[in-house]
Amino acid sequence: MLRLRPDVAEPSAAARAKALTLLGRRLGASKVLTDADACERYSSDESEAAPRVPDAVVLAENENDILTALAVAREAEVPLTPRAGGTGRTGGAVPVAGGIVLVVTGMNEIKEIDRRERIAVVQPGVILTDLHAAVEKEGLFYPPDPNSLVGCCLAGNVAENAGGPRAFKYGVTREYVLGLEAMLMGGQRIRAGKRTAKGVTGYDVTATLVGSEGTLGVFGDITLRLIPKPESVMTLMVLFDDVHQSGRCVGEMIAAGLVPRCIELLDSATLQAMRDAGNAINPAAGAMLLIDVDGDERTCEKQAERVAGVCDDVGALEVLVAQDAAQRDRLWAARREMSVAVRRLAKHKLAEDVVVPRRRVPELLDRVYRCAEEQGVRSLTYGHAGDGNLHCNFLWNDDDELPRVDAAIEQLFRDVIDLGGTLTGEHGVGVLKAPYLPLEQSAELIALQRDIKRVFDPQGLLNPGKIFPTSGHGPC
Amino acid sequence: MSALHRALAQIVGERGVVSGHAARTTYESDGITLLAAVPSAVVLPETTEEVSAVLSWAHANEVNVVPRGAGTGLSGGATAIEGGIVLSTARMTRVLNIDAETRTARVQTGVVNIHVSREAASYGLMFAPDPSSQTACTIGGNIAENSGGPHTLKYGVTTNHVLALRAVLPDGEIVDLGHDTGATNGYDLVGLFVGSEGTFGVATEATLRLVPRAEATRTLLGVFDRVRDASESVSAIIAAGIVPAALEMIDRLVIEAVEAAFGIGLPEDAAAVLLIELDGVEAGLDEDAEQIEALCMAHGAREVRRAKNESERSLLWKARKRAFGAMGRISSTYYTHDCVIPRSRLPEILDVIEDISARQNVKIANVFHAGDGNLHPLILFDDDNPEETERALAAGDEVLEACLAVGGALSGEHGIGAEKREWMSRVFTEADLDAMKRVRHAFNPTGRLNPNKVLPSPSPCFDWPKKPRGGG
Ligand SMILES: Cc1cc2nc3c(=O)[nH]c(=O)nc-3n(C[C@H](O)[C@H](O)[C@H](O)COP(=O)(O)OP(=O)(O)OC[C@H]3O[C@@H](n4cnc5c(N)ncnc54)[C@H](O)[C@@H]3O)c2cc1C
Ligand SMILES: Cc1cc2nc3c(=O)[nH]c(=O)nc-3n(C[C@H](O)[C@H](O)[C@H](O)COP(=O)(O)OP(=O)(O)OC[C@H]3O[C@@H](n4cnc5c(N)ncnc54)[C@H](O)[C@@H]3O)c2cc1C
Repeated sequence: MLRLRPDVAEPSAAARAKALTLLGRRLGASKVLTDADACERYSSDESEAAPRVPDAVVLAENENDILTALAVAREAEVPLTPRAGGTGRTGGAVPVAGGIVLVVTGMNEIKEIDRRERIAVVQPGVILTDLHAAVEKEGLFYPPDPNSLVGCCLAGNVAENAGGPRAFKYGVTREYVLGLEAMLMGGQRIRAGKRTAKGVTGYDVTATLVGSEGTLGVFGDITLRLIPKPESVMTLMVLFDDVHQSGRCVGEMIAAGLVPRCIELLDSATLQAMRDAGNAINPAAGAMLLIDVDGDERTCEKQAERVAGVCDDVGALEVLVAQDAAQRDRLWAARREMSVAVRRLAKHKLAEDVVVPRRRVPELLDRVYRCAEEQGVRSLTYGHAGDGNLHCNFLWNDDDELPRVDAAIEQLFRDVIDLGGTLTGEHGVGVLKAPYLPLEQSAELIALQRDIKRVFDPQGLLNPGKIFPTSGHGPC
Repeated sequence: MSALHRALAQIVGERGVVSGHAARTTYESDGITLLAAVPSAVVLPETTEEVSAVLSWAHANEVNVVPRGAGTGLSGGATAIEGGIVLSTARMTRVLNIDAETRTARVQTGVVNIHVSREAASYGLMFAPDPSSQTACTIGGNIAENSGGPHTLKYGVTTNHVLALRAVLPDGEIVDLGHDTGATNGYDLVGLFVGSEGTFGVATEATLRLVPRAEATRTLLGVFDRVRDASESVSAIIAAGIVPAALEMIDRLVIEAVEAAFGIGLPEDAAAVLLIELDGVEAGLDEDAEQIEALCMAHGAREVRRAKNESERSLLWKARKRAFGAMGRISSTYYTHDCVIPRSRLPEILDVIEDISARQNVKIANVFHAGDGNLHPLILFDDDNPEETERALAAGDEVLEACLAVGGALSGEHGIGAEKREWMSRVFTEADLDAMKRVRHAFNPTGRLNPNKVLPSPSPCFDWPKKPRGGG
């Protein structure tokens, strides 16, 4: 099922030729790439989704370029797939029926940071880490921090409603999008939302667009809410016997009213991968929590003390408090690079991003281990334990292992739903999870979303094959 | 007995239908009594299934339906301006479940806002959005309006606290939106539904996020001889990077009314007071309070008082939360406006409002959420005086104009409803409005659920009555 391509009609040769002619005429060669290499380069993201190589790649420099590309797609009737940093995990930016890939990374200007109003206005292609640096220089803070922050862009974050470790305390991207401009398939340029701290003028079109995975419109300028930068941060690394003990610890912290900035979990197999990559980690440890607390200096210290106290109470193996910024950075660098380290373990890797109610995390892990063992598939799990948002990774080398991987994934999804969870926490549905949507949502609910899709994109040309199941996805 | 009555009674029973004229008149308006229309019947279902049956029936019979909570709305949202029936949630008031570990509550949407926090109190939790009307307004109304309140400055408005919804679409279809964990799968339909002012569907159940009650609070009252000094202090506090739980301004006219009504002991000779609350863990709160005191004093405060205990604190909050109600003491009628401005423009906008008040010769009182720039100018007038009423309405328009001119928005928390529809084309382009229309169409293709609200009508078909009846 992983490799099945959604059943989206490919444009005819005539339609493609027309699109290429129109693009060349209206945008010129400098903004339109058609060579095989470039088309190949822009056809995949950081997922296993199988592309249909596009016919052309448009490098947009401004909103008019976006409108032009949309007009060409509409007139020639070819699909168009928006793309930002290309770090997506579910194939959102992967074209499944060729056509045009519209890249916004050239629009990467931070247009405004207003300290008094605490807002920033950015172009869609601004890289997240650049925004962090710029606002922190002003004493402000933009909390969302997906671990891909050096490569992902704000448009991709908004389109996926991205989270990250800090979401536990601060919430995900949607909490920080005040407004945005969007170019629609019909050629309209709309401005949704506001620049004020508050406001309920008309329907919340912004909410519709955030998390729409490039299927409703293409984002231009994005207006973001900022908060004051917390004065200080402290990091604790805590080792446990197993995931049950770490799960108890998370429960106790929350019951004690503690709100760390983040609580990241690494399971036993993940720790082993880190050991293999050269990190010295106590061999007795079967789980790790990486915990950040923040606030002004006094609150921060007091919180760290209380967190450490809870960890001791549940019998943690080791509690290490990072002594300085350098030590902190080392701990976090190891966490951030983990998905790369894991990738080295096998030829193929699929990270499934799921959510269960926080207290069910250990139970889900037990089920995953059992199922992976039964199927003979290698798995490891890490994630945002405070939110119950886990990334279950499955690894394989040979294509003939695929049916077993598929079976393990499907079982994972069934377990997640059985435990009251949901199939995607922060990576979106994209291509890869579309076939599973009906496991979780009723036919009426999916129909309602299709109606929304249709009123924005009646021809179905904007990022087709995403979110909604198609027959080509196979039965489920 | 009418056919309408019989049809509805078949679904919800005799007890669930109101059809006598006098009884129906109770439902003719919300808090904006200037706009009134008596519905042809009022139906009070008890369950999601009954709501669904009512909507299916109305859909099949092409009857307009207007959802209604407590009717405290301030934009005419619950008023049946195009005729039809009112669907009231007054019998759907149960708190179904509180889960202390996941910090969530599942409720029926007719439950009164404060009841949720009361039920959650024994777990040390609360529902953060706290509109001043919270002892009356319903969660369904809060969801429909995306309501705020004094403490939403720190905690966020309703949309930040709704995780999942059960809603009945206009044709009777029941859908579950969102997920109790807060994760979204596919489009963010909860985010879209919140703030849809009863035009997308009827919310029947909701999963709400609860937050821990703060370990400690500090409540301050800054007293100012000049409004300008008070608003400069607001800007200074925000600029200092402090995020108070609440930061409210109350001006002299409101103080006068509150004192006449409750005799709380606010300084009647002050031009304005700031009610400032800090909350969080005990450590560090006193330092923040001192910093705020210093900032207020540096910006010309006469004094800054601190509530010494819980009873002093609740007295101050009583002054704020019951301020609208107290206005009756000093004016026969008043009109409550609601608009937002970029908060750094606060000092200048208050000057402009004062000018408007002088020019139109009507009194304008101010009591509002200063921390997020959400103004509530209350325009006082005598509704027996048609000429003064005209001036009051004109002053309201000028205030809105002034807010828009500094980059503000039409509504901070009361919504557009029937009241501000025609203003929408001032702030949005045709394309923007068209996008909104399309979204509504996906939910409500016939437009018969709460018709003619939020978006400007192609041709205005509801005229404001020349002589208003009663105040907002
Ligand atoms: C190592 C690694 C770690 C990660 N960690 C996290 C994490 O902690 N949390 C998390 O949430 N995610 C994480 N991700 C996933 C990914 O980085 C996020 O989904 C990110 O938001 C994608 O941004 P992007 O710019 O790369 O978007 P892309 O991959 O280019 O596109 C993502 C989606 O956005 C759409 N899109 C792009 N531009 C526009 C536009 N202008 N208008 C409309 N739609 C547009 C695309 O069509 C696509 O559907 C991780 C990924 C990797 C590789
Ligand atoms: C004294 C006073 C103080 C106020 N203070 C504040 C404040 O601080 N902050 C603030 O934001 N507002 C405030 N308001 C305005 C008002 O209380 C809020 O808008 C409140 O949320 C309305 O709730 P309600 O139950 O009274 O709704 P109603 O007035 O009955 O209805 C409001 C809207 O919600 C819709 N609706 C109601 N129930 C449902 C449902 N179940 N499903 C779908 N749609 C539904 C109606 O159709 C209507 O459009 C105040 C009002 C007054 C009178």
